[in-house]
Amino acid sequence: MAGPTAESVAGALKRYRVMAYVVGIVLIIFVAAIIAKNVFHLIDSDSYLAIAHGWLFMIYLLCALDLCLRMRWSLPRILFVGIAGTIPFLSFVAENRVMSWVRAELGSA
Amino acid sequence: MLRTGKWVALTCVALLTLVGFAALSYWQWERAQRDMIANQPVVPVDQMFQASGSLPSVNYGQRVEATGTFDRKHQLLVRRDASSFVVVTPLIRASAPAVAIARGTVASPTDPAIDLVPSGQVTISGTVQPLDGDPGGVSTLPAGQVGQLTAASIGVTPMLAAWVAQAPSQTGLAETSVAYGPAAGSGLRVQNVTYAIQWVLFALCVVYFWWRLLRDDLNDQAQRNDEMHEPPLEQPTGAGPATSQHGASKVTQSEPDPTRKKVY
Repeated sequence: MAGPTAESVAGALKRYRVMAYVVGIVLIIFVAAIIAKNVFHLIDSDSYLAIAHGWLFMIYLLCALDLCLRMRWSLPRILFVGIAGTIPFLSFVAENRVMSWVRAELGSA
Repeated sequence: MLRTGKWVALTCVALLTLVGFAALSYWQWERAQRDMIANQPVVPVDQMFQASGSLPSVNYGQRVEATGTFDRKHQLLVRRDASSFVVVTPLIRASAPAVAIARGTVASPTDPAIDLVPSGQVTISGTVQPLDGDPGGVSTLPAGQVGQLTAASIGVTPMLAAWVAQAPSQTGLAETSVAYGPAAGSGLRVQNVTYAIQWVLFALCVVYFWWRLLRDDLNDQAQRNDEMHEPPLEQPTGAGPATSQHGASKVTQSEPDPTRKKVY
């Protein structure tokens, strides 16, 4: 069986974690911008952040799928990790979960 | 083992996802175009002018509206070329200057649709356009036609120093092409353009991961086969039933399974 090993997923795990943090932080800034625009009318446009998040989410999704496939995870788990990149704060939760799943399945990674 | 049922299902899901993503991409592309016009609010035409009565060039092409009644006596045709005449009718307003409305465009100066002027009070929306400069000299065009649209050529005072290209044009008249469209300065909405591109890229991801799942599955199976058969597996070229006769004597019992697709 070509199951996942700590070595075979180490790179994918690192890439996923970096993108989870980047996307998570951009999402929070994006939410702040939406509030600043629509509630306080401090800024005119939040579309730059929307575009930035769009592209970063693409990279996040590629990294997340790569990791999930290397780990041979089930579809519900893959969907959870993927969608977490679009919901504020959830990407941090997902990153935490992913770390605990990887540790449980591969020992300390 | 490569399980056929699982792969038929996975392939169907992948294809459905591709169709869905293509539709989403197209939807965003449409939004990118639609929003470039719809994003502009429609404002009363009078707000476009400075206190001096002039139209600043930043307002060219803005979406505006005006309410009044058409004055068909002062209607004229602006000749653009031999087969393009813009029908311009002043809109008389109760307590504001008149507005020159380009109701639409016709190919012939005798088109009967020219004289179908709406009666009574109407609200017209369109884009505000600057008047032409005075050409000077004497016009050689027939009566009721002008080459340049100026305040003087319409002959109604007071009148706003602009004209409004009615959009969409009045029924029966073609759209009037304008130098300053609502897209001037705004273009396609970048946000929706990038979303449209991203849905295409998501679709490519689906293809890639479908292929990767297949590859992983095949690799797993190859390894399992290697473990099962230390010498390289004898590859029968025939279909299932032909090998099963030999299979009983030679191949281990676990190997031939006619319900499962055989790849390696």
